[in-house]
Amino acid sequence: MDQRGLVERAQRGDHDAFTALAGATIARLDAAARLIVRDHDLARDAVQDTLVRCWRDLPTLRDVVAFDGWLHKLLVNACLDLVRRRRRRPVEVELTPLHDPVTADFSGQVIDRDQLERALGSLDPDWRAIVVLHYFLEYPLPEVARMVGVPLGTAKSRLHRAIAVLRSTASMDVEAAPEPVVAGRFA
Amino acid sequence: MITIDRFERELPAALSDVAGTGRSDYLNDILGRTARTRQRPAWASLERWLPVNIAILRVPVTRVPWRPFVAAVLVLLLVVALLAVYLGGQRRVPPPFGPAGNGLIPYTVDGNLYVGDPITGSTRLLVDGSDDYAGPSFSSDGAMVAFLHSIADGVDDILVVDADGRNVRKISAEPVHFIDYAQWIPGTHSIIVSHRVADRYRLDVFEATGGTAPRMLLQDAKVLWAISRPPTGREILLDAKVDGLWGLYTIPSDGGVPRLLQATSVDIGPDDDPGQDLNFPAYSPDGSRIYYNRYVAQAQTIQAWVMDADGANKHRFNTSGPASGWWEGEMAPSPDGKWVLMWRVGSSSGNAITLFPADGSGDGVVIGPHVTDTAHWLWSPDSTKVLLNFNQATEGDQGLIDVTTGRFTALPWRADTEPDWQRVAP
Repeated sequence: MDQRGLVERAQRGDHDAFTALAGATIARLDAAARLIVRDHDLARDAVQDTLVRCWRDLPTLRDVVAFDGWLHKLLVNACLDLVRRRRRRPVEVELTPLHDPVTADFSGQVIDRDQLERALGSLDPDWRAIVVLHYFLEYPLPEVARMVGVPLGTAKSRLHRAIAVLRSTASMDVEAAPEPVVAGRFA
Repeated sequence: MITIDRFERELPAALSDVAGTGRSDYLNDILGRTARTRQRPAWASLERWLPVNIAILRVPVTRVPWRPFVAAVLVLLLVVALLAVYLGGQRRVPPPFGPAGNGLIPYTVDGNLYVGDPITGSTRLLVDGSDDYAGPSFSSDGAMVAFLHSIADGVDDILVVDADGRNVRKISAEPVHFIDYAQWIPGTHSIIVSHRVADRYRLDVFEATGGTAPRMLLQDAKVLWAISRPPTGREILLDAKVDGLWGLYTIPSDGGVPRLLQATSVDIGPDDDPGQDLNFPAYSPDGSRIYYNRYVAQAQTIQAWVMDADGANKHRFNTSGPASGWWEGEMAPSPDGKWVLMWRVGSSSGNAITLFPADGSGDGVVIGPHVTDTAHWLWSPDSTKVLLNFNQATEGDQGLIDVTTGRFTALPWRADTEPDWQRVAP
C-alpha cells in the first residue's frame, strides 16, 4: 500500500498502518534529529515525541499528501523544544560525536566531514534546523520558512549566514579540489 | 563563486555522512507508547447562540385609592434601590447561547495555564501547573475554566478553576480514562464528557462543584461530539457509534434513546471511526439546522453538508466548488448567525479559510493567512474576529483574523492547545 493509503488508514486508528509508516520513516527522522540536536539520546527523545504526537494528532491532518512535511515539522519542533528545555538546565551539555569515525576516502571533496561536524555544533539550533530542512531533507526555502515559522527573508538570511559559518570552518583548500568540467564548458 | 556553488552542492552528501545511518532500534518502544495513546479527537469549543425569549406580561389596570398607592410606590422605590445596590455588586452574565462580549483567551504552554488579553496583548499565569495541563475552556458565563491534567497516556483528571485563578479543584473523583470529548454545557456549570469506564463507553455529566458522582446520560455508545441545541439546550446532538452504527444522533439533554439523523456512508472496520465523515457537526445559531462534513467515496472527497435539525432536507452547503478533487468542511457558524466559516482546499491550491453567508450562497471569500497542516479556529463571542491556531499538533502560534477586512494579526504568545475565548456580558 502507498503512503497515502497508510496515512488514511492510520488516521482512522489503524495502528498496523501507523507501524508501517513509522518503520519507513524512523531512520531518516533519527538522522535528521541527530544533526539538529547533536546528541544521540536527545535525538531519540525527539523522534519518540515526534512519532507519538504524529499518532495522536494524525486524525487532524487534513491534507494527507502533506504528511511528510507535517511529520518533519513535528520533528523540528520536538528537537528545538528539547534543546530549549535542556538549555535551561544549569549543567553543560556535552556534545558527543554523532557517529563512528569515518573511514571512507573523502579525498577530492570540498567539505571536511570532521570539520563540518564541529562547525554544525557552533551554529544556533534554529539555524541548524534550517540547514537540515533545506540541505538534508531537501525542502525548498519557502517551505522551510513556513515549517519553522519565520518570514522567508529571515529564513534566507539565517541560511546564508549559517552557510558562511560552515564554509569558513569546514571548507578544504579549493585548490586541492578543482571544479570539474561541466557540459563541455570550463568552469 | 565556484567554491560557493561546489560547497553547497556537496553539503547534502556531507550532512548525510555526518548524520550516518539513523537508528531504528527503538521503534518498538515508540509503538508500545502509541498503542497506549489515544488519538486526538476533533473536539473544539462549542459555539453558543442567542436565545431570544422575551415574554411580555400585560397587567390589567384597576382604580386604587391614592394614599395606599403613594405608600406602595414609596415601598417599591425602596425595594428597587436596594435591589440596584445588590445587583451592582453582582457579576453580569452573558446569555448561554449567541453573541456575547469578548473576554480573555485561555491557553496552555509548557503545561501551565494562562489567559491572554487579545486587546492589550498582556498575559497572566492562571494556574502554575509545572505539569501537563491541556484543553482549557471557559464556561459559557465566563466564570470558570475547565482543563485536563494528564496523569498517564489516556488517563486524565478534570479540573476547574475560577476565572480569577482561585479555587482550583479536581471535579473528577476518579481518574478519567480515554476521554473522546469534553465540553461545558452552555448555561450550566456542568461538563459533558465522553470516556470509558471499565472498557465500556459512557457519556457522563460532571458538576463543576465536584464532590458528586457523574450523572450518566448514555452507555455503550462511543461519542466523539456532544453539542447542545440552541436556544434551550434541551436536546444534544451526538456524533456517535450506537448499536454498532456510526451516525449523527440526538438525545434529550437528560438522557434517553438516541434518534438517528444521518448514518455514515463510509465502509469501515468494526474498530474504526468514519474519520471526516460526519465530523465537525454544528448547530445553526437558531438551532434549526445542522452543519456537518461528509466523505463522498465515489469522488474521494470531503464535502460540507447541511440538514434540518430533524434530519430532513440534507444537501451540500455550497455547490460552487467542484464535486471531486476538492476538500471542504469544518463549518463554524458565527454566533450572530450571519456567517459560516469553513476550509476549502483545492486539488492544486493551498488550504483556504473561506467565509460564506449563512445560507450558503455565493462563492465564498478567503480570509486570513495561508494555512498549512492542521489548524483550528473559533469565532470571537461578538462575531467580529476569528481566533486561529496555526497548528494544534505542536506549539502553534495564535492570531486573530478580522472578519471584515480579512487581515491577520499575530497574538504575542504561544499556545499548544485548542482555541477558546471567554464570553462576557455584552
